[in-house]
Amino acid sequence: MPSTESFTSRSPMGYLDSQAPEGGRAQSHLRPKTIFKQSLMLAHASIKARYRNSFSGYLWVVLSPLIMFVTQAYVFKVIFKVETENYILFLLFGLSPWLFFSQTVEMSTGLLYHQARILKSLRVSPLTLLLAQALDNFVNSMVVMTLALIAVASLGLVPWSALIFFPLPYFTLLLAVLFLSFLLSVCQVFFFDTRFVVGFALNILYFVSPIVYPENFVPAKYRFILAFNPLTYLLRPFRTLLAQGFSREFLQDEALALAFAFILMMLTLVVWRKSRDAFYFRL
Amino acid sequence: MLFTSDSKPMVEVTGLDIKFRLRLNAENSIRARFIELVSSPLSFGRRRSEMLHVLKSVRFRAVRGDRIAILGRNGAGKSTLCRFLAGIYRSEQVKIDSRYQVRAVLEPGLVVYPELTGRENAKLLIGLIYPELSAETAAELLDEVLAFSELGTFLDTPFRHYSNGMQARLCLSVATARASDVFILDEVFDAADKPFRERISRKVLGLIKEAGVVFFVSHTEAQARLVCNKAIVLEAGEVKFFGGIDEGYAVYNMLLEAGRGSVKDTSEQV
Repeated sequence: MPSTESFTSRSPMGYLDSQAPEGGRAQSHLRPKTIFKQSLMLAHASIKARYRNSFSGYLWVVLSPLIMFVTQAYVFKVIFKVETENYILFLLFGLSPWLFFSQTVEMSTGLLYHQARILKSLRVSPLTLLLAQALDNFVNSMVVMTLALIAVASLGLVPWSALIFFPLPYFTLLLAVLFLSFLLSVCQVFFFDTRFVVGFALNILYFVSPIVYPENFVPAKYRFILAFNPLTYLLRPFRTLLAQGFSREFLQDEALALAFAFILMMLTLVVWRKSRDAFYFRL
Repeated sequence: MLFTSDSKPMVEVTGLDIKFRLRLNAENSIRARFIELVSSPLSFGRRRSEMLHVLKSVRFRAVRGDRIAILGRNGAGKSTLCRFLAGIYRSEQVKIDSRYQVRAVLEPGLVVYPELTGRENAKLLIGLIYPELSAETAAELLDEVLAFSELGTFLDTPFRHYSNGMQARLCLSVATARASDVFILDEVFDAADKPFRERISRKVLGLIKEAGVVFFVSHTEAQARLVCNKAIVLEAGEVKFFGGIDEGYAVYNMLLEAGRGSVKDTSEQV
């Protein structure tokens, strides 16, 4: 069976910047407001579908990352004896964003492929489906993080400003993970084993990212690994916020993370413009 | 040649030409590409390919009142053309003024979340198909849709337990809930059971009267003749005829006779 590789048209398919012809215009794009409204609706439905209003369902949302957190805290603090000030909090500010990042990427990679019927039958943007998935995980992660932060802030272990401003780096992470998911889910349509490669890559990424250890634990000659790892920049504002509260350093790190998310968005736009037609025909 | 009608067109297709590049014997996996790169780096990416010509310079105009049957054998490009007209695939060669509402019913059994009930899925489909509606109007529409579907107590059963016919009932009820300026229907009625098919057909005939332009794909000649006043005949991606429904069927039947049993090859080596 031959595979469909790419899509071409005798005339350039410049639909994104097409001129309005006499007697009609090329079809309009879905407005961002529509995409956002539909995403919120789908995210709400997804949460409802998963938990069906059962208390145990919501409890599981809190329990599963907590179990993961306690296990990792035990392994790295008690067995490996990682010597870092406030290690438990340090881990919380690394593991919680990581779980949001990795779960969203894993769940989104096959999403467009599995929702092919909807994408080929309705005028629904792929971004709507991906944003809905990311928002679903975002809400879960924010709930867990908020509960944990209220507890530790009440004990005076973190500055209250950390509780107020922690959604900022989370929003930046949401943007980055959304566009990364977009790239990977488009790739899944062209290469059926993308999700296996993504699972493998996430395992590697977990160990080469400063999630369970601080950046200064990495020997100087291997720091380049962190420098080339985008997750380093996305996680850094969380740690700066924990250590210094709302500060100039936090804003600098946040700006850097935002710049990375912006670059990822531009890359996604370029890839999408080039592959959009082939994507729909391959779907 | 541009097929024209007298008044100002609502839909204009000006040379829609669509090709796919096909890679022969290629496995679409990252693993296969990696092995290929390592084993023969010099020939990587230089595999023999074919171009599949799906639509060939399709041109026509449709004016208000046109109800066009799209005729053609399997693989002729009917569904692809419908998706371009619906705005799912996009091309600057397909021109529909953005003031016109375009709705398409291309799939009779859509489901958003199978775990949710029919009622909840209908609400989601309304949100996806009619995003412009306010919450109040959407709620009223939902009541109309649910009443029309006649699914009764099944509406509060998870959608994954629905039979194909029940799924079609719900989806068609949502998709045909509102009239639009340009209305596209692609072989959607066969999935529902006979009584519901008759009811939805009556409803669609009403919508068709309200619509400005209708594109209709059906393999049932009587149904197409009932709905349409014009026909476009596609053969291997090419428009063979655009005009009256009677002449359209004459051309289509002639093509069927000429190529009975064969699906015309649309690929070319490159």
